[in-house]
Amino acid sequence: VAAGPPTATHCLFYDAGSGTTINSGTAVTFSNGYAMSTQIGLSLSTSTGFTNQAAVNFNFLANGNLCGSNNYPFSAARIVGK
Amino acid sequence: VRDLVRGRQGRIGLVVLGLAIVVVAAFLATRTSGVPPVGPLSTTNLNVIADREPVSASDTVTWGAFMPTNPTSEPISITSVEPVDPSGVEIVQIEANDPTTEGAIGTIRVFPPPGVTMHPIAGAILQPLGSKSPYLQILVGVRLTSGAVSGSIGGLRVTYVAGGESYQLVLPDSLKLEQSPASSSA
Repeated sequence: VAAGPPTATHCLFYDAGSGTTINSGTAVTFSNGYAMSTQIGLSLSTSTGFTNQAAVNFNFLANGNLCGSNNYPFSAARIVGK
Repeated sequence: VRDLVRGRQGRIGLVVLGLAIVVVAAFLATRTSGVPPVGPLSTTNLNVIADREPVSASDTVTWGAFMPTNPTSEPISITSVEPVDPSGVEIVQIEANDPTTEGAIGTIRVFPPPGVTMHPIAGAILQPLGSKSPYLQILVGVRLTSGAVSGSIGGLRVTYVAGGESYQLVLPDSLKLEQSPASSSA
């Protein structure tokens, strides 16, 4: 059974068409909260996984949220687009 | 032996005095050179967020940026916020709120954002980390200047007061607006 996306409740709202690039200040995990094969509401320019000092692009194809697991995205250890 | 000890103590005393003079001189130089002193807030190790939003010429965007959390035990008061290196944009308004209870925004093509409570930036309070409301979001209302097809803000310069002293901090988060015929207001 594939692991689900991490629980992330500290969310910022983005409207359709917008995007964001996050340069990680510390080790951070990025992921797409949607199953890629189904309800695509967001594209992610890198594969899900652990990155360190990375830049990751989120593009919101529909209204959505960028959420952090333990904090808002500015200081989160895990960031999820959903 | 007494002379030897006295001489050694004297030399240590001179070294300590010299170090104290250097520290005081450096402090005074910082205070008088116009370089803002380093305060308790820091963006070190934070994620840097670069937002982008397609807009029409008539759109006003709400852009949210977060203050770092407050590591001190006392509330920190915001004095002012101004954009760093703005280009092709007009700042409509800069406000603040508690994102947890009043609404958290990345970017949205409407200002003021519906359903989001905002307060004047001057006097906004950043409560200590560990308090009930440790977050403070800066909300910028911004639009393209007339005739511009793109615009940007390179960061936000925040002036704040902590412990009775005034400090400045530059948030490195940025915003880019690009005119797009396909964009529509939220």
